[in-house]
Amino acid sequence: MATLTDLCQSIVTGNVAQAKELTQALVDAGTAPLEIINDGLIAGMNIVGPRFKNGEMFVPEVLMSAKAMAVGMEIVKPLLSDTDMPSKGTIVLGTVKGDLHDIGKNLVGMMLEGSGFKVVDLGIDIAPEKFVEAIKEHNPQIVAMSALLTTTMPAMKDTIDLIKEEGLKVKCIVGGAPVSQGFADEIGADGYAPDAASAAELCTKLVG
Amino acid sequence: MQRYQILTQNEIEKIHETSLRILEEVGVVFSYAPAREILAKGGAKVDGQRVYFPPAMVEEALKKAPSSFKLHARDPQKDVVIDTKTTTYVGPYGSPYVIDLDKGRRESTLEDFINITKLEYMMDNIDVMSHIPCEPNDIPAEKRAAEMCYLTLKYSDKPLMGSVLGYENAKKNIEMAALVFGGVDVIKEKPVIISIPCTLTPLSYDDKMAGAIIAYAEYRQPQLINSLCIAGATTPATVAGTVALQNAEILAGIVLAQLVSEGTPIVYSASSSNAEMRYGTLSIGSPEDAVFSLVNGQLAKYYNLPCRISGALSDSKCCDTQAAYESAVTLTMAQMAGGNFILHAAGIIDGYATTSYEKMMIDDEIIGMLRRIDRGVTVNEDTLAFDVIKEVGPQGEFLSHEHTFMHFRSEFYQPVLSDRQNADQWEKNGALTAEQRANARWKKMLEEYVEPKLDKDIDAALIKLKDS
Ligand code: B1M
Repeated sequence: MATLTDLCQSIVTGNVAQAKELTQALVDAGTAPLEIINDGLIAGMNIVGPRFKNGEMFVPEVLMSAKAMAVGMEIVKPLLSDTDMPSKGTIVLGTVKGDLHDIGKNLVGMMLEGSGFKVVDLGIDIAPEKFVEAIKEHNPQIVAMSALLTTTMPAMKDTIDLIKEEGLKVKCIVGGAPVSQGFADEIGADGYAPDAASAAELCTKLVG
Repeated sequence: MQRYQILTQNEIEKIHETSLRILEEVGVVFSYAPAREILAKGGAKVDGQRVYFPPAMVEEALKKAPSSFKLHARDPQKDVVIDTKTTTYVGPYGSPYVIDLDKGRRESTLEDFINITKLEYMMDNIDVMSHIPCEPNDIPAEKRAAEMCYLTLKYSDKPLMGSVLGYENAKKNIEMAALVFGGVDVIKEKPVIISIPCTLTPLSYDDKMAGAIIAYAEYRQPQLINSLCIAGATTPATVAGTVALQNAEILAGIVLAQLVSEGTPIVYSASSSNAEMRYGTLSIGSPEDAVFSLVNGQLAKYYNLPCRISGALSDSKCCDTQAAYESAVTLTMAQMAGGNFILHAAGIIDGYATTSYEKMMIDDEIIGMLRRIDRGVTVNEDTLAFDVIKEVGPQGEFLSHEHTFMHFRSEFYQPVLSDRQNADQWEKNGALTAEQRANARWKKMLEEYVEPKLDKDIDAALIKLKDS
């Protein structure tokens, strides 16, 4: 008999096939979908997070756990109405105009998804107008921008300025190797995160 | 000279074959339309932005690039031959931050750019000026490429690197360098400026870099066709898989350059390293970085091309013990691998993001030591010194012998930074650590710096072109 503890464990070990099987088995056995999510899938990620933070787990392992959780979610989702579906919120993410570095941004995106956000990844070299367009389309709570070049950091300010000019209600956060808390304050961002795990924490705090 | 082979010839061939398969079956994205046109005309299959390379086309291009060329300096005595045997050391490149013992870590400015340019010029171990020893962040971005090129030409008479930020910037840098050497027609047969266009890993080239490749090839100026893969992030976590992919990227760029201008000089350039999986960041002071260097050295030799390897690399955030041991290991391996153009040979810490003033000096010492090691041992009658040994005999001494007087300077490396006095002397002289001595040394170098002469008319013409 599949148990919620087993499911939780399969998330922690990043066993995608097993997570899928166990979630299906639990659904078939009549376990409540919300229980599967909270006490199985999210419970697993709640163990993964701290383990990553203290260095017991590594990035590829965390990403595999997130994948295992997502597979479970896919099975449970159709059983819940949109309003019942626990989602922390939507985040629009992108590397700013003129900048093609995307490894850090991708990592941030995966971590955000892993911690329960819906992420709309716009990609690289995203102009302020494109961010604004995406905000209008997806109605996110947060816009997260990444820049790795000192020459493209000003594009973060341009984007925030345009968002304000358009009167859009959304929190803006920034990150990337050359970006600092000081710079974030200077350009009027709502937050800065030095790495992907802290970006997830920051977003959780901002929507909470 | 290559002194360490980590793979067998058969394994190298397997990597090469896999790269050819990647080029033929997976393809490489070129976002820059002019590059796609050139490649299509040369026989590649183009589908949207994706370009697929038939193996024969790649093999053909590889045969055309020369295995040796001379890079000319403002002072002809400082000309550098870049080939498959010798080693050229080059300064730090691209860091947006600098750090020193006095002022700590900060965004680099024009003042830092000029200081480090002067240090590169003053350091005998640095052969080629690196174009961006640190970013002059206080210069408007659109003016930076021309400004840096001008300042490098003004403050140094060594050979120089140039901008790769798009066709236009590259062209202007080349024309500026040409001005000093008698014009663009002269430099076509006489390379004077070298560059490092970089792939957008995995498997693509952006507009700027493809534009730069075309510009440098049009003027037949040398270029390091470079790939910086992050194993486990932009490429497979396995060394073999990363190298196969990285090699495919580099070969694609070489094909483009050779199609623009057959025989244009190329340096096979690879600087891949691994992701630090604790954080997902790039690690450059790692043993894997050194393993990549060794494989890259062998691949370049397989293609009979000069090879760029980096460098004195470290992930440390300041000039400390970690910076020193990582740099010693990576730079040693770069040389053992047979690196012919060692970029980032001094100053780099923080995963390429920071240039340290003190570490410029520490690495100067490491390069000096490696140059000595590379010189090897001369064995002949004079150096075997049988007659001298016979003359001095048992229980004698050699310190006062003429043979010692004649040979010690050429046989022994004289440290420029390391402390070798006895403990009492060391204390009397202030008990300075290596970092403190490094701090004093770079300041002294800046004090002693004398600007090399630049013809007034050329200077005026350069300024005019720079500001145009
Ligand atoms: C709120 O939202 C948030 C929150 C947190 C966020 C966030 C967003 N985004 C990131 N974070 C944070 O979380 C992440 C994980 O914890 C972290 O993300 P990071 O992105 O910092 O970390 C990644 C996981 C791993 N790190 C990286 O991926 C960056 C590593 C370094 C070496 C680097 C790489 C790999 C590349 N590069 Co580039 N590159 C360098 C980098 C030096 C460095 N150490 O930073 C840097 C940034 N590059 C530089 C340069 C000069 C360039 N690069 C260029 C190209 C490239 C490659 C294509 C080769 C490659 C990118 C591949 C890719 N697909 O992204 C060129 C420019 C291209 C362009 N227009 O963007 C080119 C101009 C080089 C050239 N000659 O070709 C330098 C910057 C100079 C400057 N003025 O700022 C540089 C410091 C290296 C150097 N010394 O030259 C945090 O910052």
